[in-house]
Amino acid sequence: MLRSPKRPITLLVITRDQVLRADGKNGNLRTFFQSDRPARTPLPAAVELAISLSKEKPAQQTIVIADEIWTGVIDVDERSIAGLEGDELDQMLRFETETLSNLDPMNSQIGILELAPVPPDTRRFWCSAIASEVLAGINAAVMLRGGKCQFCTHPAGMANPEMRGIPWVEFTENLAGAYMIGGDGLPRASIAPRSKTSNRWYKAFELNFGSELPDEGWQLDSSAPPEAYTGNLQRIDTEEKIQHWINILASRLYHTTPIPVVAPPVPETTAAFMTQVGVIAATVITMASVGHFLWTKYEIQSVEQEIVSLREPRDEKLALERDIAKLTKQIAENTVSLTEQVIQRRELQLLTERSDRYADLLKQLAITCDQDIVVDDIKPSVKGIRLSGRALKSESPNMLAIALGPKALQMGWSVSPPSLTGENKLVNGGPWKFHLELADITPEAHLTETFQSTLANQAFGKEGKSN
Amino acid sequence: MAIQTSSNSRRERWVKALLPAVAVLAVYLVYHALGPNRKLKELNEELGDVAKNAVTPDMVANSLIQKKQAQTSFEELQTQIRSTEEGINASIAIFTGASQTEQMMAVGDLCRQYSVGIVKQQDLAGVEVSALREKSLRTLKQLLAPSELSFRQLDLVGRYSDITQLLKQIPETVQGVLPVGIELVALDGQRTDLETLSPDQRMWRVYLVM
Repeated sequence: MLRSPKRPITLLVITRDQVLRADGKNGNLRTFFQSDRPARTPLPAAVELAISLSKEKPAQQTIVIADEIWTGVIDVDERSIAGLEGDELDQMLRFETETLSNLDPMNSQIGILELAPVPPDTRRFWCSAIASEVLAGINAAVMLRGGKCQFCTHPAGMANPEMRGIPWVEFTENLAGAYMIGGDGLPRASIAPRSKTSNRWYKAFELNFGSELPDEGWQLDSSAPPEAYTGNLQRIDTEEKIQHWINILASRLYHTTPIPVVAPPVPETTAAFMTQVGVIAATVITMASVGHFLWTKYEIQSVEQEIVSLREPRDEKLALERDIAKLTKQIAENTVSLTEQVIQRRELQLLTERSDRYADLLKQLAITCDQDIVVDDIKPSVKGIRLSGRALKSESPNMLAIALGPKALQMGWSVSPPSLTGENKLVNGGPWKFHLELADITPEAHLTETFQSTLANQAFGKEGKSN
Repeated sequence: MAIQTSSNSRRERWVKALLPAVAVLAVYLVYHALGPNRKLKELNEELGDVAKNAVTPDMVANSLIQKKQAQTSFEELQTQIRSTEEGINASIAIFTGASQTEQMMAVGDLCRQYSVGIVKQQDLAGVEVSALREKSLRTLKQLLAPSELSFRQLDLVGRYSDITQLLKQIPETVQGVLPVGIELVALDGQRTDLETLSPDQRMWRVYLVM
């Protein structure tokens, strides 16, 4: 019945003469307060009195146990309640118990526990009932003190041994009860109001229980059991025994104690409350939506920033590649331009440098020509200069070409072998007309040929030395 | 009979209370699905594409190095171009600024100095030179204004040694005048204009560019 042992509990036990408050948790009640109950005090007032015994506010699990709450067992024809359950069954049983409890079915609350059925077609219920206004008063008294009334019930059958199959009896001044849990797991109970005028109630009590009455049990006040009962009862008459009984009772609260209890009705939700709930729900949803929107916006911004941060190096690289391409293009253009300029410069150098080479050529001709050779004609040609002349010896033009060659190279001419034509006027076939071609050469060719001739001279010198 | 529109049950009251919140939630969910969520999805796809083609700092550094290398090459090339231009300008500078008449007067003075007679002197549109020299002259024509460049043919009479000295002195003494060709006129015995020459004198034809 109570689900959380760690939460504190408050037990308010109200009897005809006394009120008692016990507080504790985990089934252990540590503080007990007890006081006399003023005569004719209504139950809600007695509850308030019990609460006020301690300065502590009652727990959120406050249980009111009062013998003013009606309890009893009724048998109902199965056919009359066939198909009923829940509120409908409660309402039906309120009407069924009206004659016993003397409570208005329309203004009372009932707690029921179905017991083992009575064959062949009877269902048996253990009921507890209390007037609605009394229940509301109890609930209000507990709530006003800051607690919460978990349920109300009659003390009968609460302090059971909780051992399956072991029955027990309880005798109070007005009631007698016998309880057991059968081997089939279904509870069995017989409760009978005691009469001071006859013992017939006892026979009915035994009969309803269905078997011999248990030997063990409680005697809850000074009222003695009937003489017919021969069992051994524990009498709860001293304060210590009361506390012991309450402790047993409290320890059983966390188990599925098979007793009927009456819980205060859950207050109906008002329109204002529903409006508040609606407003709060709408506000919470709106705030959650706004929060989610802001979070999404933040996510979008962070993703955009990440894209930008990833694109920055890419854009930078693209810009660099554009610059590189532009520079490469400019380099190519400048290379072409430079090549043209170098060619121009070389061509101009060809023209301006060695401008005295014609004088040098004439000088070299004067040096190298021997007596057997006469240069008659010097003419520009397509290749450079063409020398024409006559020689008495056929080898003289060749000797001239050989002698002129190295110097002519330095002056920018390449000397080709002479062409000879003998006139056959002399014995040896001479004189010979010859033509000598001096071809203009480029500086590179000039250098190359100079280098080659130098190498040739070096080689020739070596060979000459070796010879 | 009135139509019952509300049972005023507990469930109905809860539904009524929570309806605005549900409506707000529904509206927001629709807006979120069509707006920010779609955009976020698109951005995530874009982010995936961008991440695939992402460029590392090393790649940027490599590009930077390549750019610097290209810049260095470009600057070196510019320096070479300037140097070459200076060389070209220096080469053509000798042809500019001087009066061609004065240059010819100087050449005439040299001829007299070396006892070389000028038989004939005339302007030419061009001179017959080797293909290699022809290229050089063409380049010179391109770089100079037409008025700054002219070709001249001199028919000279003189001794071999004097002509040699004259050809040596012309480029050294007269700036901007270069001999680009010589011709020794052959003694074929048919030319009457050569009969007056002494035995060691010959007829020379010199081509000058100035």
